[in-house]
Amino acid sequence: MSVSFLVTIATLALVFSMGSMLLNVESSWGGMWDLGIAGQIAVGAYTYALLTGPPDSAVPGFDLPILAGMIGAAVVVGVVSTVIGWPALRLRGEYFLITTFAFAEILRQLIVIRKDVTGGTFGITSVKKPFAETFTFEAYPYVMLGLTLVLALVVWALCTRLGNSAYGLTLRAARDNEALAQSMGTSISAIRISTYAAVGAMCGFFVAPAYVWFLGALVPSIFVSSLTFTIWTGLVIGGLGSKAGPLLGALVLTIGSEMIRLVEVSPEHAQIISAFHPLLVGLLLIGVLRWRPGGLISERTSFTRSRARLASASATSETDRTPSAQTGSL
Amino acid sequence: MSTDDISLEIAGVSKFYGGVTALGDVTMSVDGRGITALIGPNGAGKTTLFNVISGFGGGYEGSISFDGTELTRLKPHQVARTGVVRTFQTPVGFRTLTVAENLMIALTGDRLDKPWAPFLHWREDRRRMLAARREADALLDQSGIGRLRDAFMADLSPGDLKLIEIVRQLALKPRMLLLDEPAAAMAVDQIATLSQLIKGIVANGVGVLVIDHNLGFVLELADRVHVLESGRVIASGTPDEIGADAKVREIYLGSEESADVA
Repeated sequence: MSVSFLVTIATLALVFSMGSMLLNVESSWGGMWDLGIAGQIAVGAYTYALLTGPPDSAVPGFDLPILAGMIGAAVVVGVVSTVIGWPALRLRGEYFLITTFAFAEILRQLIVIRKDVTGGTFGITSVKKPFAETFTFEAYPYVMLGLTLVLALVVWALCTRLGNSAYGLTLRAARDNEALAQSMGTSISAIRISTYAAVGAMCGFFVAPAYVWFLGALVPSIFVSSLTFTIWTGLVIGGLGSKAGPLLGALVLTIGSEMIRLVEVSPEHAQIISAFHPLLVGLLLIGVLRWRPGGLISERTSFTRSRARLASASATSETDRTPSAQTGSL
Repeated sequence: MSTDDISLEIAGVSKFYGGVTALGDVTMSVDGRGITALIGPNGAGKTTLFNVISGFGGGYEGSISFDGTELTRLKPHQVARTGVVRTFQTPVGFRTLTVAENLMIALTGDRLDKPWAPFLHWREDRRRMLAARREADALLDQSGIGRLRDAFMADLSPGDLKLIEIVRQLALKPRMLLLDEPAAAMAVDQIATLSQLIKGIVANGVGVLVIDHNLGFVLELADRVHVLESGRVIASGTPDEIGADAKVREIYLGSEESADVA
């Protein structure tokens, strides 16, 4: 019982970690303080569920293969993000934050209203999961954990590559000093809108389907702002701007805070225990910010190795061969 | 001064903030091969003119062109891509990045600045990053600040930041460089180094337009001087002519004390 619980918690933690890593790209490196990520995940989740769902259910789906559903979710979230980003990215800082927050709420309300495609508040109860028929009911949580772990590692690899690239460097530069980046030929609007859309598409491809598999059913109340704040908290604990930090932070946050559910208590105390969950999250966040303000891994520390690698490659420029530039990729 | 006709042409530029005239019908031709200085008391509109040229000024009347290319309605990044590059009065750079990385931003170009580029142009991206790092190290060595290459911008002194501001913008390989008070808050020996650096820039065929309060520094350096007062050009000429101009002495030098306080 408790082992399968641990497996479930670990799977959820990995789903959130993917969200935190992608949020890190747009918010920490890109400087776009996005409070609408729950909305983007919601759009991806419903798109995936509709594309892959059975045609004979209450909300008829298209019964497409899982990969097609993931790609469809990526495209739809990418497009929706572009449409949201277009007006929102004209705004700065806290105005962008409020606008994205509002858009996420609008998207959730649309999901509630459009009962014909989303099932309204009743939701979508049957979703297609990978390898569901291949494994037994008892073994399936482990399969899910493995699959989510693979996806999380892919997201980590993609984000790390982004961080170490010329694009990532320019993105962080534009965050540090917008006017200066412009005076050096960088189009702030172009790099931000493309980043916002790309992060949205990756949320659609990775986070949304993985979350759908984990949940097994969709209702609009899943995608309230607390989902956004959970992903943000994981990012802040792990370290804004670090490459492995968000992965670590979301794992620490989710596993640390969900562990309280393992405490066995009488039914009358169960409510108190569940009220402890947000308290634990709050204490964890305060503790990290008090003793490690930069998070578990800071941005500066996170880039130490890639900086050193470039520096030493530059110092040995005479022995320049393409392979030397290729070693130690990512 | 120059046999080529490359120049930055500022024609009838006016800029108003509410009822205040920040720039009133400013017309000047800045030689694309020499050093032109722009002087004037605080609030004369020097930095406003820089902002207007570099696309940060918003709407204004008149027109600005460089070497035949119209800059008038371009955005800041578009102006920069025409080769007209500015520095900032208070240089902070990209604070969380190292000195070498600050230069690399200039050296990697903007073709790879898309989120799909690291994957679609994987090899080119890695090659450009390494080449940019090498070039950055070489430029820093040439400028005598190679020791700072791995320091973070946030940890540097104002004097170092001033120098890096210029070196970084030079890494963009500009055709016309606009320097906003490069000598401000610099010690006497640093100013000598700066003069040498600026002369070197011009020797490489880059035009320089420089704003500064240090009249001695400017008159020694420039081929031509424009004096701005209350948003209007009140005198233009060689450093000798400007140094002897009674009107300039009265208006500009008369407000030296207040300029020093600010």
